[in-house]
Amino acid sequence: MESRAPAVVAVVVTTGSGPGLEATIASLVTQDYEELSLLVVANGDAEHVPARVAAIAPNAFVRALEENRGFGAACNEAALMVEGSAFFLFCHDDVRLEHDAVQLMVESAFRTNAGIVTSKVVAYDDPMVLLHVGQTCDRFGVVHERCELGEIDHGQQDLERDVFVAPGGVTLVRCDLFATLRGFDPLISVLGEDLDLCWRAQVAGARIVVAPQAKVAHRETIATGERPVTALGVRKASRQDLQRRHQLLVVASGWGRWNSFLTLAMFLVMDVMEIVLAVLGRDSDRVGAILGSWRWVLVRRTQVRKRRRLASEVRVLSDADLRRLQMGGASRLKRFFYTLVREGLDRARGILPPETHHLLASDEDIDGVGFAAAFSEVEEFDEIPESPMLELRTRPSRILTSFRAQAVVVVLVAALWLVGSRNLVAMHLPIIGRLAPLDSWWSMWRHFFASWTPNGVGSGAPGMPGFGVLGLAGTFVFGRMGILPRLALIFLVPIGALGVSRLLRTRVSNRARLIAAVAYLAMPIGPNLIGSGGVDVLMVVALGPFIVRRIFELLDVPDFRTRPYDAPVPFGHRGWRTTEAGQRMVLVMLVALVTAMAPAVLVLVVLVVLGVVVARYFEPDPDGSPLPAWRLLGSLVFNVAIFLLPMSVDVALAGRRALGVFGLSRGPWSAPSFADLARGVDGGFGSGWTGWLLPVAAVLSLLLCRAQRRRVASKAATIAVLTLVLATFDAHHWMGSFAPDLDVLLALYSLTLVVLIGLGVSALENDLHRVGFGWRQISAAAMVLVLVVTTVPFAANFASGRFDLPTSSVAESLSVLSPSSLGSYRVLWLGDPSVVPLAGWSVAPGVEAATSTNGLPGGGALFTPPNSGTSDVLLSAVELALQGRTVRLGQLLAPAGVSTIVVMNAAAPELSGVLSSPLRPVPTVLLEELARQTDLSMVLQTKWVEVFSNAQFHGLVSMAAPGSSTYRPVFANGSLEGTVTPGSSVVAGLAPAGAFALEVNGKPSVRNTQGTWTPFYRVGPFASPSTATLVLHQFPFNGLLALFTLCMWLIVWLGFGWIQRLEWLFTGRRRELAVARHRKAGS
Amino acid sequence: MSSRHVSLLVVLALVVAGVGTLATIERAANPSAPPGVFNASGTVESTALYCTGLTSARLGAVGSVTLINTTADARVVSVDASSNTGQHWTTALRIAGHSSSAVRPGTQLGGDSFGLTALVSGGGVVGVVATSARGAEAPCIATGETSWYGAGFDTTVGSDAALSIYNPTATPAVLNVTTYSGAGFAAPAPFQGLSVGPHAEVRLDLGTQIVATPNIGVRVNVLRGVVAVVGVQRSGTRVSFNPGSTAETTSVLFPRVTTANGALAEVRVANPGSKSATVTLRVTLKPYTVSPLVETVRPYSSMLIKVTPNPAIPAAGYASVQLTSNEPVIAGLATGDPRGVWLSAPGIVAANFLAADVYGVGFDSVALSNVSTRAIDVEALVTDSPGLSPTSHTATIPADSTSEFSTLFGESLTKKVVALHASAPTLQVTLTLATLPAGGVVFEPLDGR
Repeated sequence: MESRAPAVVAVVVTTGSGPGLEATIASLVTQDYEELSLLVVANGDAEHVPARVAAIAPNAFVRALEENRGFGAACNEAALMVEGSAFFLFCHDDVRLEHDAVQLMVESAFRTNAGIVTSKVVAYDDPMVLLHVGQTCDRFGVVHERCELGEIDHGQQDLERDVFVAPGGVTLVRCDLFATLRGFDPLISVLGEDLDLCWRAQVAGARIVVAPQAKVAHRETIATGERPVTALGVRKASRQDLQRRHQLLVVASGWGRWNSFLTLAMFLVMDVMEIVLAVLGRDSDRVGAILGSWRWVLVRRTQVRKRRRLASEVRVLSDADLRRLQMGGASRLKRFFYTLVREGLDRARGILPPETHHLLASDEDIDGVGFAAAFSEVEEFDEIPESPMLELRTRPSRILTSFRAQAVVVVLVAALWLVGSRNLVAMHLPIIGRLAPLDSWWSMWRHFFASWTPNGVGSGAPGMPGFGVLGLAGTFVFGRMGILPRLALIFLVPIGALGVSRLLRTRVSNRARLIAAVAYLAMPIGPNLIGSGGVDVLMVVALGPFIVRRIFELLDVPDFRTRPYDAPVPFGHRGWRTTEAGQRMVLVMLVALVTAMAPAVLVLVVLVVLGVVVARYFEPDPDGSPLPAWRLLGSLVFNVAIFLLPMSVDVALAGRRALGVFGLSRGPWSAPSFADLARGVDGGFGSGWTGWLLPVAAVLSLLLCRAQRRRVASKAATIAVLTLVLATFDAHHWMGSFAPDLDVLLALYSLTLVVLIGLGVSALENDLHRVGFGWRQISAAAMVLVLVVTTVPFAANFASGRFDLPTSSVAESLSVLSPSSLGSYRVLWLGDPSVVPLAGWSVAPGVEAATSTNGLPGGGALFTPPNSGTSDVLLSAVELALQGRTVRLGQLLAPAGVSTIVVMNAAAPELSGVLSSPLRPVPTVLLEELARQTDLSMVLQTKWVEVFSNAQFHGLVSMAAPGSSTYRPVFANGSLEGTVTPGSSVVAGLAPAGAFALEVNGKPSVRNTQGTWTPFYRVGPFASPSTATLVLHQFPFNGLLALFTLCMWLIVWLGFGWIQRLEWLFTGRRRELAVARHRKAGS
Repeated sequence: MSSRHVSLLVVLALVVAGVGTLATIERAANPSAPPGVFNASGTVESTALYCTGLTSARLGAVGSVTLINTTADARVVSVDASSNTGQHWTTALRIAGHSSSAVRPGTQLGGDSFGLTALVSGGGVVGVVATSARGAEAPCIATGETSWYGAGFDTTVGSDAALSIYNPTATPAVLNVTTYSGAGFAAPAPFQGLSVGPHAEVRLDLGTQIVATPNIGVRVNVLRGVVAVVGVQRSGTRVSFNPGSTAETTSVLFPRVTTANGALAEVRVANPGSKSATVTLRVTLKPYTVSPLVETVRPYSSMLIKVTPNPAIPAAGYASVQLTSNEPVIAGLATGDPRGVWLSAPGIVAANFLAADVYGVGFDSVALSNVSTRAIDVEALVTDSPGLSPTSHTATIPADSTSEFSTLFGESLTKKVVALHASAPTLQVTLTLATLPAGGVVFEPLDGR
């Protein structure tokens, strides 16, 4: 059976002189396609057309129309003349088809079941230059090319695919579809008829396909203005008028009721904006075109309704489906913003839709402009144009993409930070926070190994590992311990910023890392901690990012481990550090190091792990599993406990006070409010509205992130929220005695915010251009604005040169601590844990009790074990007073040798314009109760501090003469040796009672406690006044524990390959021999 | 965005919003609740009572301090008395359970005015200062005061008024005294920056600075430390203690104000503020209806409202007088007869009281007022004799009403000690001594301040 190809009728519409008509006809005549008929429609002025056609295609039909009613109307007229054809091939009269174009288009139509097929359109004069490979459009009817302006055809676009618009020129339309759509709309005479037909075809469910193998050259004489528009009724209209009115018509009738209303409303807003700009630029043509388009459509509202009705009759696709076929956003706005940013307002307001072809060639170009392009990391931006075609391409501007620019910013910020820290270099450091003057290097080690510490009333608990860390740090500064706090204040926050950069390495661009790092410096937590002397928490700020990075790596958070762990190697061998076990050990050591200074960092670790688990519950990672998370957490906590064995023992012995190791309860009335916590503020910096900038940027970042970035952002956001919740509960004292250091929580919270900001910047670079204009673009703009504005308060942080660290402190302002009598004494410090400059124990929310011996606190008071031990007598006494259950607190404190009670409401006094420190008052009832104590005398009362003298004070070590019950101080201040009276009774306020012996003339005296915690010594009946010495007799259990801990650290450190390196030390063989042996064994 | 991601974001947003809302609503306040000595729990290590007001015989307020142990256990009390001449006397007492003991510092110390600290090992001991002449009682306080207000003092001929100020702590106290009278505000220089040494007693004779002035309101502002203050008013041969109050007030109830023939009752008001105060007195005297009495008290001034004699108020026993003011004022009640008056302070509203018949003559009226809009239950622990365990009685007082103790519990208070515990801190107790004419002497019970 003979099969025939489907019939195609080529409809060539010619108007006026039609300079390319012969070429068009000739190319159609030479088509390979057999079943092709040719119908030429002469649109008015048709006298010469039949002859011209006949000269080339004698068999062609010519239909002459009396007047030019436009391309669409002519095609409709032609369609009425044809019956039995399968396809119409609508052609302009300025095209030139390749000989196989029709064949290929028909094949494509059958292959893809397309209703409309368009060809690859190339320049008429240069077939190597692409003009169209199909088109797409947005919801507002703005058409976009799918190839770049001037793009050379290397076959890169030769992929058959769906498009939204088949550009006019040569269009193959299935006849039944054309009939269903009732042809072209005669309302659209020229410019826009292709968009209208295709839009309605899409609504009717027809596919529109580009067949790039079919090649057509198009001269585009109308679009380029080579030929005037001569259609009836539009001769006075400019191209701009026509394009705007037809675009509006399509949009007004192309959507369903609701979407039509919404789209027109947005259309109107954009038009109003454009009118404003046009008026400013005195562009009356544009104003006229915009107003004219609306007037034109409103006048034809009946036809619009009719079009909508017809569209609804053939509607197959819903509005939502239609939207999915279009490009997102409003490309007009995008284009405007892009040009505005790159080329200024004058150029921006001059961009009109008809010229888009010449300005922007592709979706990618359009999408990659504006804010997205400004943040693009594509290396291509660095290229110098080498060809005219490249020069034609638009080149978005770049911010901070080059190494040089980033280096400049780093240097600038570093210089700024150093300038901001200038006064920290040499100023007197006040006794606030953890800035109590450090003891000597040797003393720090001694505190670590000590069998007895004087905190409280004295304790035999193991020394806190923080002393060991300080001793170790002191080694690196050659024992100049005074340098350490200054180094910490100046450099720990920048180290944290480096950590943030490291945390985000390989996940985001260098620019995003840089911005995140600077944001970390700008977060209020750093300056506030410096200003409050919180050196311990500054360690968390510095090392927190490193800890979080390692936890993320071990938990397989997407993109955080770029390669699998190395194959296991034996402990001590080279490469062990990069194995999974080695990496875990590095994390353990890191966490242990920070925990020694700020134990609440363990809570931080738990929050990070918990945040990852919760985020994975909602949004699982491809390979994520919650089980290893808990296992990791368990092993981490266990190993840290081993690495900090002295502290672990302290915690185990602390009983109900064990949770106090993480921090002491602050007074809920003076703790940061929820708004402060949400801004990461605990102090003066960031407490204004500018404090909201970075959190807002973080939230915007969370919304902007997509793909893998979104997974990481989800985790960071979850951790941030968990931290914020815990901090809120903490600040309100809703968790009882579990009150982790609020600043540690805020450090983690701030870190997660800057991680989000870094990811947000990365989203600007990578994710934003993949979506159309919409809320994301607005969010991006807001985020960029926020980041830019943040630089102002950031710079303001540096004004004082010391981050508002007070130059003096309340403690130092006290000149009344020492009692009038001689001998050693204790000072009891009461106050909110955030203002008391030494470590102690919690009595009640907002009341920490700590003691110092013989005056101001020193380095030995920086850490105290959570186990209060015998010091409970002090805490109980204060608690009794606080609850109004005693009026003789002085008498209760006297055995401990407490001469003075200092109640602190602020860390530093306030001097208007000079010094400021937040007021964090103790419970008012405490002051009331202290005031009613019958044996306390108030010696100083200010807004910041109240000092009470103990009328019952009788010395830290006191003696009652024979026959007397009155105790008086004995021994000189700071000494445990002196002269005692024979037969007298000596009592020492030192615990534990069994640890001390009073040796008189070298012989121990009889000791008993008389039912109390204090040791009483009976001095023997010597002949004359004798020399007595209080001697500590304690088994060095603490020292052994500390030594064991140090050895363990050393062994593990050796495990990072050093055992292999130092093998010759243990085996006596040279390392080279050992290596050779290993190689041999391996081979 | 995927639905899972949206779910996570929604959950996070809800958590933040929820916690934020909760945290914003639940703003913590700095606790400042002084305890009372009625806390007789065994965990109390020590309490102290500060008593002042007694004078030498020359100044008329000779008497004793009676310490009453409300617990079943014996209490050791260390007494440290001081006089205005700087003399000290200490003694230790052991008070058996449900018993009392009295000390008379005037017999041990020289001087004109006496203050006393009773340091109790444990809690549950209250004290009362009473003159021998059966007309003046003032409770000992357990917490020093940082401000004190009293109204109604007279320094007119035949009267003298003084403040007995005792510093119970080891901290020197510094205070200012200002007065308000019909002539206006006065801040006498000798009364400014007045220092009271640790455990020292001073007596401020108001008449030395505010000469021959009736109805003087007094404000004591303690700048440093705490003190115990009692106003001592001598009017003719009558001496009364004005325990004062620690704050100004806008509403005061005098539930038992005499309207008897021949008696005198005045509500004395001082306005320490800078705005005029409009004071309204609502007199309830069943079965009569008395129109409210409205007066205006000028700023920094004082005035009195006569209840008895008053032609608008019939002479028909005790009236309940409710004073309300649009501005904070100092109020007091002066009762007696034309030969002299006794001053009393507005009653305290609390949950626990101790009413003791120190003089052993009983009371003409023991009024229990419930000042709330809900009925309260009151438990009375009546100790009939020293050393005996108290018997418990319970009664309900309707809302916003006053009832007699004898009516509620069916027994009198004569020679008894009664601890009253209300179910809500809205109880006010007023003791009126039997005098002729009736209602001349009004006491405050021991409230455990």
